[in-house]
Amino acid sequence: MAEELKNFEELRQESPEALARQILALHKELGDLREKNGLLEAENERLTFDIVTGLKLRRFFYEDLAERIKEMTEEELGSPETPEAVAFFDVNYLSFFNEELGRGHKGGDEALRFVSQAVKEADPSLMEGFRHGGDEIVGMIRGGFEAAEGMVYSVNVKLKNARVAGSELPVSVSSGVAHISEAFEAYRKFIAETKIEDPENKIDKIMNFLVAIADRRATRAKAMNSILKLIELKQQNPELYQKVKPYLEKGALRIGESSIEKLSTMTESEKLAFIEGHINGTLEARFEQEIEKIRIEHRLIAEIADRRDGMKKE
Amino acid sequence: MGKMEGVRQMAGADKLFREKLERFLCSLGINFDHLHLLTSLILGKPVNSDDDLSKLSQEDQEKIIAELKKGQEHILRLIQQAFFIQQAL
Repeated sequence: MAEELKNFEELRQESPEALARQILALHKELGDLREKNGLLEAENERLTFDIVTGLKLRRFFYEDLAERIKEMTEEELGSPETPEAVAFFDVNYLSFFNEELGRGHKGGDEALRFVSQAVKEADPSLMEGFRHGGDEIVGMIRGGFEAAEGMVYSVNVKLKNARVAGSELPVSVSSGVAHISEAFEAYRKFIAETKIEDPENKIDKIMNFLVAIADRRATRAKAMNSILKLIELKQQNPELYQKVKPYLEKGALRIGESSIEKLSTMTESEKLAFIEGHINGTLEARFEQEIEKIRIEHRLIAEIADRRDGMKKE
Repeated sequence: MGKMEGVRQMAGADKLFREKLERFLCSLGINFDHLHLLTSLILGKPVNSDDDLSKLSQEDQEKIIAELKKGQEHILRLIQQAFFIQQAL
């Protein structure tokens, strides 16, 4: 305080011109600082939010989710009543919007904006949306399984009339939800099966399971939506069917012409067996790959930890 | 009768049934615009509009709900089967 009074006293003794110069210098400094602040805010915005959808970026989803799981007791993690769930929203045939409308990625961006807006408006007090990846938006939901399904319903209702300009196909999503108790159950089974306790990575593992379960459901949903759209278009609009087939087949588990040809020579029971094999061989394999990745990661962590222990003993 | 006309003429109970169906579809991750096609596949007879939907018997309505309750894997198989059969025809 004494120092400030001294500075003030010195200032009072300056000439009015010198004071004016100092004020001008301070004004300039203030202007520079405001400009720097603006640039830093813009940079912060760019590093936090997805430029297309305005939703927070993927890493914030995982950071926020990890924080929330960290606060939960084992009992809460295992309880179906715990208000913690996620919903995946995969935009259907995004590549069609990107490639067939003659506007490059702007077409797909429009579709993504419709979906992100629907996610934002569904119920901001219950669900926060994040851009997860190319065609995926993920909602973090402060609610149980039913609340999560309610959010999915709300997003679908909001998308009822969503259309990207110039597109023959509507904007829609394939969705899948998962509740924290399901992820915790999977985690507990995983630990029991592998007999490797890894408390340091427990939260990451539970998150991986939560995301893998919701993603798996969304992938199945995408297969159903793609196939239903193919059936509908083949019946009602063969020209459009030919145009969109390459984009829908990807979601429909890459059902190619060769599979179709093969089917035409099969008996009914052979067809059913083929379909079973196709479903199990594609979806299950994809999910198993995810689980296997987690397993391998788990083993590696254990091996590294053992090695470290061994080195300590030496 | 067009789809919009069908919607206008739906009675309260039918609207409730449609909403119930939409909620079931959502729980399976399926879009609303496949509602008529999916009910057709389940029942094995054409359901092309909300008007057709409103004329379904109680038995048919129960059958649709019962099938949807069997879950994603069951419905996916049903849809794939229909698709392969359509392609193979």
